[in-house]
Amino acid sequence: MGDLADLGVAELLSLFETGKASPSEALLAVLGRIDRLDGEVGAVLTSCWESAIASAEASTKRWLSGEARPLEGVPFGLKDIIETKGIRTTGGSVLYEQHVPAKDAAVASRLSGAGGVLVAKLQTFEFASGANAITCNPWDLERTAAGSSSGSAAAVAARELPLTVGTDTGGSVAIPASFTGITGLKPTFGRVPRSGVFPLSWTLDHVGPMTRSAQDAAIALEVMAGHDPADPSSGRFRVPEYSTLLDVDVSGLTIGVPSDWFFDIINPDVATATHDAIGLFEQAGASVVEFPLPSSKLIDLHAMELTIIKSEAASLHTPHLKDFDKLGPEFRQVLARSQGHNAADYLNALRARHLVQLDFEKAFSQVDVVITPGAITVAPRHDHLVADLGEQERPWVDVVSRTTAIFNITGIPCLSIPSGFADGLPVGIQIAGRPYGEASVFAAAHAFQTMTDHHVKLPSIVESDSNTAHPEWVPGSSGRPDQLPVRTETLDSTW
Amino acid sequence: MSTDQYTLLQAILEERGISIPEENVRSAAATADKLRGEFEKLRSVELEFLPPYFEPATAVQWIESYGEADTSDG
Repeated sequence: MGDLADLGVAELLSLFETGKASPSEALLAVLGRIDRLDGEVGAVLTSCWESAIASAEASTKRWLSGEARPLEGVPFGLKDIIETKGIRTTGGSVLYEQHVPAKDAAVASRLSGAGGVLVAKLQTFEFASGANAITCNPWDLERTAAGSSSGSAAAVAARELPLTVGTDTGGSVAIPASFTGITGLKPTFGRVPRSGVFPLSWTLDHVGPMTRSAQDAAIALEVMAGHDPADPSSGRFRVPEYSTLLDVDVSGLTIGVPSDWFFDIINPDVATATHDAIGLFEQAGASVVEFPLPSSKLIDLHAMELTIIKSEAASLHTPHLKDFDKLGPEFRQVLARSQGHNAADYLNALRARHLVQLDFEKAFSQVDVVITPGAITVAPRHDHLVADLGEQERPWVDVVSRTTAIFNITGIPCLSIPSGFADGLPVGIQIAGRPYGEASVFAAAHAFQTMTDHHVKLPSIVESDSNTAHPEWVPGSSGRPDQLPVRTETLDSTW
Repeated sequence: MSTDQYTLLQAILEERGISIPEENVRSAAATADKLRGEFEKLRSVELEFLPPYFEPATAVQWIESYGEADTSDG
């Protein structure tokens, strides 16, 4: 058995069940990995190792006494806009640097209640909005992990944690997942409750698991999903046992590929990797059908997304205007720009969402899932934050969410999975499904991950750490403080 | 009538390419000016940022729940 930190959720649960490893051993492995690598990666904002050790010991006993719950002993981390009882939740903002919630967010409570062991609160942009990540990409530390679920993605990629939770308003799970070579789910709007999560845009915010594989994401979603009366938008539909529905006959699948929008502005290597992935499904017997997105000719989907997010953020953050000068430069810019939308613009953008939904409804009358590129480029360098489109570069913020926000606008589920590499950096595809069709999405992704090994490849810093023998992590031995100061300034950047 | 309100309305109309007779713009500005105090009062209502916060769906949920508010916050 190798380093337990290298294992995913399903693998750990299997070892715990057979008594080949214990949650306490797994926790020490991930704490050691965090201690050794996170100084460079910067995924962790607040460590919860003391409470984690107690939880892991309790989980170890539960496995021994036959009382294990669905995620018993699995270490996990939460993006630091998800409230945690008794543990500071900063929202990535100095305004909340010492904010200690009295209650857990619904997802935090559900994961802990299912036996998960909370290990860390993870880095994010201030109030989950911005472009410059403090967190580095484990595949190349000079490059961004993107965000705003920066720490959640990088922690999984660096094998610091097997399961994290991110949030997504315009691509904040999908983009960092693509850049760091992990699997990230933006579920159907309403599938996972947002109660207890700092809001950015109530019509576009989603909460989803970030893992190494579709199978692990399916296991996590079973625990996270389901109605919560505290979130008026959460759906009342039954939660399927996603992890038992992963096997699909690929030859019976019909895959839809949009002929509009997604391939208009994209790095050619990412486009090629997407077509290669679709080709692999075809070779396995799937049918592939192209379909149009007429709404994308009528509406600039990026402008629509920005109008909705900025308008709702302007309303939500009204209480913070009095502290404007304490906010970081990026969020100050967000609030300033948000003043430019009027009520009719906002309401028209909300109404026009349905035009995009109707395009997908038509597509889903003939296909099972839709496959698109993930992020439009590979991860850019911190000091040159642009979208490399091959023969030209575009300002990062103008195009970054082009392939992702459409799934926030439509509210349909979308899983980002690694689909290959370009210049040694991960690239991803997205698999989308009908509303509440997460089971089909997971099954298609699981089939792809059975045919490929992109999702199990390791960044060199992890590989080298895995291949080195380390003494067992000793509680309190870390040189890093448990709570890092919140930083809203950015690394060197052209943005 | 507030000159500021009038100028603002004119700027918005111009930016949106809308042509409205001068007297209607003045009348609209005068009404907005008369209600300025009420609008300021509405703006000053404190709506919390941290959960439980109110969003448009909260009011709909209240109706669906037969007039009972859910005050839990997750």
